[in-house]
Amino acid sequence: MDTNTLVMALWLPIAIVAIVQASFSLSISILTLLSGVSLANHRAKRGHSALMASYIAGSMVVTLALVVGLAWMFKVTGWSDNNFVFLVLISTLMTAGFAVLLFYYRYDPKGTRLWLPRRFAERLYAATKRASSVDRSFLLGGMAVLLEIVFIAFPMMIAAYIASSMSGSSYYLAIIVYAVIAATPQIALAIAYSRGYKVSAIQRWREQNKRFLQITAGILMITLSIYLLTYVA
Amino acid sequence: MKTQIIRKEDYDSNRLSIAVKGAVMANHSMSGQAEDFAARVIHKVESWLGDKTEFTARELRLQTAAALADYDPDAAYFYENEKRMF
Repeated sequence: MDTNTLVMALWLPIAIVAIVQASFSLSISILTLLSGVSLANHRAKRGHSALMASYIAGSMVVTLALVVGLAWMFKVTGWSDNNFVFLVLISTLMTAGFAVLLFYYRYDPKGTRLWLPRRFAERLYAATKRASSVDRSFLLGGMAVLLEIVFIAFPMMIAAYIASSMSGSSYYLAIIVYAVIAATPQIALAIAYSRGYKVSAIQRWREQNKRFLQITAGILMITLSIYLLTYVA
Repeated sequence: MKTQIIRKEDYDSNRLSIAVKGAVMANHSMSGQAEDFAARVIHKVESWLGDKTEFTARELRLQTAAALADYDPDAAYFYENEKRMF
């Protein structure tokens, strides 16, 4: 494959599905609340940064484990060269894109909220409030990825499928690139919070732009599936 | 008809004070300033409570956020919205 084909058929789709995962809100919401809770508990700057870092590490480890697991499954079953499997994955990505546009946020009189069942969201709120140690925040980071698996699974499967067709260092690089891009907003926010940015200022921006983020994620998923259908499959 | 369960509890100024301090400190403010704001907010909220015998948790949250907004609008926003992040 020449460089141009490599970029257009492999690296660009991986980067885009990683951006899709990065645009989902739950991990960011938990990180924002965790930062607020940590500062409210008189945590020193170093402890606050450790909490943020362990949260991101948890999120990245689970993302890596899931992508590696899926890629391994594609390789072992021989699906990594199967065009029909790729078409099925692309169509599920497109369906998930519409699902994100329609269901990712619910609109009720109390305001716009994530798709999570309310009782579940309350438990998550309580768990975040209790996450005062690095191990708990690590688990919380991993849990945040697993909780959004309903939406994240589809971009993740595309990344795993593409990565499974690679070999050697490109395979590892593709998976690491995916995990790093997916965690980029969390890393940026953790640095911002640690440097003294106000939690409420960032939360306000997110509140005002949540519709934009939802539409971006949904449209990216649909556009990518059309692109993959046209140029790659 | 839908049956609703209403949980009743006594007003606790200490609990409210801790929550207000937490919201102020969550925005990188110093603990002394947080304590000062909390004391002022509690004073305002208690004057609003007056001789009320019943009020909802949401009313209390909104009143507290409104009182806190006079001193620290960012903290007031965080206090009012932290339960609606998900």
